[in-house]
Amino acid sequence: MIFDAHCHIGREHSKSRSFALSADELVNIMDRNGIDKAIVCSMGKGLNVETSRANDEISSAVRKHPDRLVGFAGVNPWYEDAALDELERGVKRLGLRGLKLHPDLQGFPASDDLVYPLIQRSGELKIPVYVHSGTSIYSQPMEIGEMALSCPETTVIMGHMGYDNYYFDAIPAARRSRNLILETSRNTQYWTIEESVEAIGPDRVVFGTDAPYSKAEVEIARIKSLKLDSDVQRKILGENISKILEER
Amino acid sequence: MIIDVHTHIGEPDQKKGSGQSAPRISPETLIETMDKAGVDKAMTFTDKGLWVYDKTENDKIADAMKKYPNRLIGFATVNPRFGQDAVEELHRAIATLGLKGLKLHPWLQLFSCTDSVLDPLFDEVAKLRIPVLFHTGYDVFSGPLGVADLAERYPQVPLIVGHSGCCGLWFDAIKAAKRCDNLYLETSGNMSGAIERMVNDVGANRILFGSDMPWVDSAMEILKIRTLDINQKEKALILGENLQGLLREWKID
Repeated sequence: MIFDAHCHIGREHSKSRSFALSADELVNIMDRNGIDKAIVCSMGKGLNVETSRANDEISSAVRKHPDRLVGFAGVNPWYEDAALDELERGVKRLGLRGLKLHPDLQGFPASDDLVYPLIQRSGELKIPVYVHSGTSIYSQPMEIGEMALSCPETTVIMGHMGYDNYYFDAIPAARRSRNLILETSRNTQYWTIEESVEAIGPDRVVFGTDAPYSKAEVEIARIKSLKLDSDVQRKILGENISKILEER
Repeated sequence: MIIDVHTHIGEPDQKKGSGQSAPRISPETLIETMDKAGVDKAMTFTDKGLWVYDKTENDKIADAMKKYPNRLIGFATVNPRFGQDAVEELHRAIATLGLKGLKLHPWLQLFSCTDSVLDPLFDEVAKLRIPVLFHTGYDVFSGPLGVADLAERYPQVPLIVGHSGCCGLWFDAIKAAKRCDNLYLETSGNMSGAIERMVNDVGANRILFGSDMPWVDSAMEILKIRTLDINQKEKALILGENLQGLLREWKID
């Protein structure tokens, strides 16, 4: 079973530079690459200023493909209490099963107290929090580690393992907090994935593609090219994230 | 035909990478990996020489090139902060050792591309008519727009934007390449989606395949190009045909 822990659907913005992907296009990519299930969150504007609209959109994508997609809510911590309310609505009324945060895009340091109420509430709601890491300077792995240490009851997933200039801090951050999970998409420093299994065990590393920014073909091939036991490979490719979602 | 414009060699000091550092590889391992991945030629640079200014690293790159003359194209490195000494070392590396270009790493070598400290070195680069590959990214000193500033100051020098601003600054690499015809964008480490944008906005003829071996797995980097949503002709240009033409233009073939 392959379970992709990180995909986007929607459209960043209306200008030509914008990336975009529809739910149907994503399911098509999954079919072509043997991916059984995927976690989806919004992108660009939808994660930042139009979060309610985007959460509705994620929820209807999941309703359209209930056996294939699991939805994560996007809320912007700058809205404070309103962000907490929107998270609650996303989880309790829309059936979303995690929170996606993007410090770079949303404009807050990952270690800022501003975001802690959301991390805390996610733990209470028993949902994992996926946090983009690497770019920019506000998304350093050690900051995300600090976030995880501050809310030990919340499962925090570090997206991209510090891709790419901060790859060297991903494992040290995960060593400090047992509730921190590393996600592999775009991690071109492939040997750090092997090393992370040795350093923090095989249960805290999860595979993701980051569609549409990266290609499923490449992301799967990278995991399969690693020197890993087949049971560890299975855990990374799907069993781990599946268990994280069940437990929570 | 696949030509890899970005590889590093050094003295292997560990069997495999750690969480903090890549496995260092010998010229022999580089060639073996190229054979496995189907890479015909590679431009290769020092690794250690980027973080310590050790001129013997240029001799080692020249030795590797002499050992594999049909496979490796060696680039020198010098530290621009050393002024006239760097100018003389570059001259020695190109004129005496026979190296073919210059690799610079603004972050590790502590300079900004906008700094006039580069002027004496780039006067020499222009005289020697060699290409220069820069590390770029969002780390300090490494934004692609800084390379654009230098490209405007030295329009006759071909500059390769290593990693094309990976990570996080691929869009600035596109802005830089649009302003300066003497800039080429290199693909290593960067996202598939970003490279598709570069092809769309700048054109495949300005994009060069690089792997950044051994920091990155070259087989995965080739797969990344092959799985892009662009046509076969564009893939062939990026993977080698562009560079083949440029090597002739730069009189390196």
